[in-house]
Amino acid sequence: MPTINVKKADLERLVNMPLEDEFIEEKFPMMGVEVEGIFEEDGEKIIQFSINPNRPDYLSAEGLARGFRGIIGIETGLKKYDIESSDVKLYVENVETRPYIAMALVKGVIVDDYVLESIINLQEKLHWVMGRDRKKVAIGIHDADKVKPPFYYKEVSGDGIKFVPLNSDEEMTPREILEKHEKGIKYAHLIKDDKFPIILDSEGDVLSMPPIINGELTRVTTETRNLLIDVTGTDKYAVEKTLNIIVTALAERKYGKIHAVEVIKDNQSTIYPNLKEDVLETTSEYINKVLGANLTPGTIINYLRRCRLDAQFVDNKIKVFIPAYRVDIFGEIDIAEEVAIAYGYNKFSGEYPIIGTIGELNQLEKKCDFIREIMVGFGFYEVINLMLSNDEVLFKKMRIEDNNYIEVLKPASIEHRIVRKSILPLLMETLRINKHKELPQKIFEIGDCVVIDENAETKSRVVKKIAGVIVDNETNFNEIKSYVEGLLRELKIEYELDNFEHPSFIKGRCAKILKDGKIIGYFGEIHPEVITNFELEFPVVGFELEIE
Amino acid sequence: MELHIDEKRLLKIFQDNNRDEFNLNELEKFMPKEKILRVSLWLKGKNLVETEEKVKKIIKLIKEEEFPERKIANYLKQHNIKEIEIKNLKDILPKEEINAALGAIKRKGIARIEKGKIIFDNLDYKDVEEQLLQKIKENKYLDDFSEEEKKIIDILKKRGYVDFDEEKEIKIKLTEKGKEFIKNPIEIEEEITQLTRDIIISGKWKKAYIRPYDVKVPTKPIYPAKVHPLTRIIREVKEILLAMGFKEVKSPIVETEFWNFDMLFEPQDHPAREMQDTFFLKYPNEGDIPEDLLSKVKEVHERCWKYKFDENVSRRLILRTHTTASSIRYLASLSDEEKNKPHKVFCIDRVFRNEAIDYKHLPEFYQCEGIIMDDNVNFNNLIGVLKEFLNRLGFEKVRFRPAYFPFTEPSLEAEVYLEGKGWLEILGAGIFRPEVLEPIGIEKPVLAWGIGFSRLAMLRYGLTDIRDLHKNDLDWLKRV
Repeated sequence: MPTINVKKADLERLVNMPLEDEFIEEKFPMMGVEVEGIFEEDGEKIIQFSINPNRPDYLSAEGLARGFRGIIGIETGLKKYDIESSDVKLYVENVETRPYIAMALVKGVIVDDYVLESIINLQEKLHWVMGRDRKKVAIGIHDADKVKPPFYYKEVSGDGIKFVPLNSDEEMTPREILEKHEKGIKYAHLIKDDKFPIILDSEGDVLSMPPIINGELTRVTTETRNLLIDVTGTDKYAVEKTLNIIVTALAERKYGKIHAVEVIKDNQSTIYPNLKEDVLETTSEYINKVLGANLTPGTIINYLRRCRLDAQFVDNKIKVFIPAYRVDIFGEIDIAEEVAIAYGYNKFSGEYPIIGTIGELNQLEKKCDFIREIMVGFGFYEVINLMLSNDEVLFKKMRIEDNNYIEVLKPASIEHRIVRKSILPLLMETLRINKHKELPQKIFEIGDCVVIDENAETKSRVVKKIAGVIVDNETNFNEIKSYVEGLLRELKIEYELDNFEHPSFIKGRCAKILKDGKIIGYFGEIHPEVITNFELEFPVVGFELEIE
Repeated sequence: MELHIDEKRLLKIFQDNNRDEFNLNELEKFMPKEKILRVSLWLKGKNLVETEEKVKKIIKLIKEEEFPERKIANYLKQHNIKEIEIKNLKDILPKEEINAALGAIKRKGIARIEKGKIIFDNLDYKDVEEQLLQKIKENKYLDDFSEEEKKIIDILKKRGYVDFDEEKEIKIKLTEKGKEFIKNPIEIEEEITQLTRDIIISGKWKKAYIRPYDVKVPTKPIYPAKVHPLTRIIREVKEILLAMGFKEVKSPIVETEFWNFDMLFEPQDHPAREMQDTFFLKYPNEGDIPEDLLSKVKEVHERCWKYKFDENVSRRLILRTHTTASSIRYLASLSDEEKNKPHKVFCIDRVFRNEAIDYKHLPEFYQCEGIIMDDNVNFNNLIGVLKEFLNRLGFEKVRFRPAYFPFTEPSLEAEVYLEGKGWLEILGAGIFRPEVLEPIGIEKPVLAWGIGFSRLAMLRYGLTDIRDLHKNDLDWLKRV
């Protein structure tokens, strides 16, 4: 979940009213924005917000303020953003790896410290949420007065050009940037076949090398007044929407004006940004059915306007106009949610639905719970281990050789990388952890194990198992045999016993449990080598049984 | 008059010895001192004995060494000489004892000190102080010494060989009533400490004294064997859901991305699918998918998310990240006839997230997912169900706020209020999006919610570190 830090003073300026902390903490969650905290930094109050990934338009103070003014009702409906024409052109050649580009200007912005910080943060957050860490979308924001249109988007080779990248004072080739520059090193994997996308101005100066780095030439500072935004990527829709989010946010700033850029590719011209609203139709009947409410069309329209949408009631239908910076509205159901948010989630009465169904437990789970009762009756404590373990515990210490298990590709830790196929080793590990505690210790665990099964659709199968162990000053085969047979008797399982050579157990003191000729479990005295591998000093007996 | 067996024993000592009084120390060969003191207190309360305490000054021996002047004499005797220069005393005595020796020699007149020399006439001199020390060993009571002897004792005190102390001498005497009492025979029964079968059937207990216990003395605590605290929470939740008419369902732990993500309308390039959050399998790594469903899901994704769907991604195997996969598998399994009926199902199972392990996170944890499908269920009903569920879990105050999940709309998060902690997020919920239900041919609304058990467990058991749940410390499992 992305978070952003907003200066409270900046937010108040954008909302155009003073805001109490309590008011912020109460109201923002109502619009789906979580307030993580309010704290002071360098004598200034900061609010940390969590933004849902479906609302990238909230990833800036400007976007948050726009939404907030709507939800509290001081400015509602679709925000109109005028787009002034310009004679700026961008000529696009074929850039195979990042074929899409959109560009726009926002002029007249007073870039104070707040605005500068907001711009940098928005770019960074959008790189992740819209751009999947620049792979899908990358953004360049430039001081437009430092370069001369028209602009060109093309591919160059690794040593085909030289420029000073951002935060550097050394001229580098694209290949050198990948080798030496911090951003180049980090995003080198996004460049293929020595082909580097590049944006140039009419004098051959570099604006940026997407998706890696901007040029130092067009660095935005507090002296910048006119901003040029480029968005490149592999996904046309995402590129266009990202541009819309950025230019509308900047236009929220005082004196900010959006200017169009003509993008020409293969003699075909497109004007950006395209802020034409989307249109959806719904009905009050649909909204009320989804929400379980009884709202009139007029009321619904008012609620939609608080969400900065617009709506009209035409021919018994509600026609909804959706701003171009929204990426989360696909259909009627999304309109219903907007109404619910504006209405207020806590105003719903919460009517319990009367639906006649019969409650029922999973049969295998019922059996497992019955087994728990038996084991507790026998005096065993239940433990629950994680299913993810490692080969040291599962195999090596148990004197078992096994290569047929499920392993994760990138584990959370070295100890948690193999999915268990047996529970007994984890009980031995539990005894190790408790080795200084009072004896006797009797523990059991019931749980899922996963084994490979090439015939299953997920190439694996869940097997439910129970295992138990006892460590005591004196314990032997006879004791564990009595418990195992007691359990089998209660479960009404018809079984046979036979000698079993299992490497974790003492030979001649281990038995397998057969049902219809098939091994369903085993028990006996644990081998002293296994006992010492788990740092124990007393005899241990144990068993494991499949449950079906 | 009813007497405790020990009271009888003590009185019998007076009777058997034909004496009216004893010093406490004389009685100690019959009975431990602590018991004598306790029992005599009881008898005093019954006016059968009285006690007399006399505080006596005693002399305590502190040092049992030869006097330094005697050491000099012994040295001279060993070397067959009768005099020594004072400057040579350092060979015989430590420095701090030399002055003490010289002072004693002058005071006692046992040798002459002339011209820097000590001259003994008689190396076998008699020393009154030494004799008195020996006497003190035999009799420590100060009052038994003469005035002359007491003066010498004061000198010994100054020299650090003895000190004064006090000792209580306790005398236990029969009262007149007590004297009358012991004129009659005193009968003492056998004492029983442990009832046995033999004692029961033989009737010995009728004539025996069964020793009483102090009922407040602490005994070793015993704990019942019990199920794991997580199991207790799972049982509690299942009981609530059964009462609400829910049926339990299960699904695979190893899942394809198709069922875990694609079916739930999560775009294939969503950040949650990256390595950081999901456990992908090294081996095996690819599973099977129902082809007809795959093509429908692909169509929905490409239409709505406007990207190119990759079927190879769908087949990848992972450890499931939520129990919603259970619900969607259940819905997909419904026949046309079953789709016409209402359904309430739940799944409680383990899910896996690739998160760094710390006090708040584990790579796997329990989750509960519930869904309700019926013709006319709505968002207000969802809130009603969640309020009922959370109230039954013991949370009185519940509130809701907007949230985001890729597969539900509207979506919400529920918070509960805890005294001293404030509002706490407890579960997420929503109504399945049409894009989720379309490929499986379901047109009724489906309400859905999920709750993680880690937070419940931490609240219920007062844990501050989630890792404690699976550490399996047996002391904790006994007490919790």
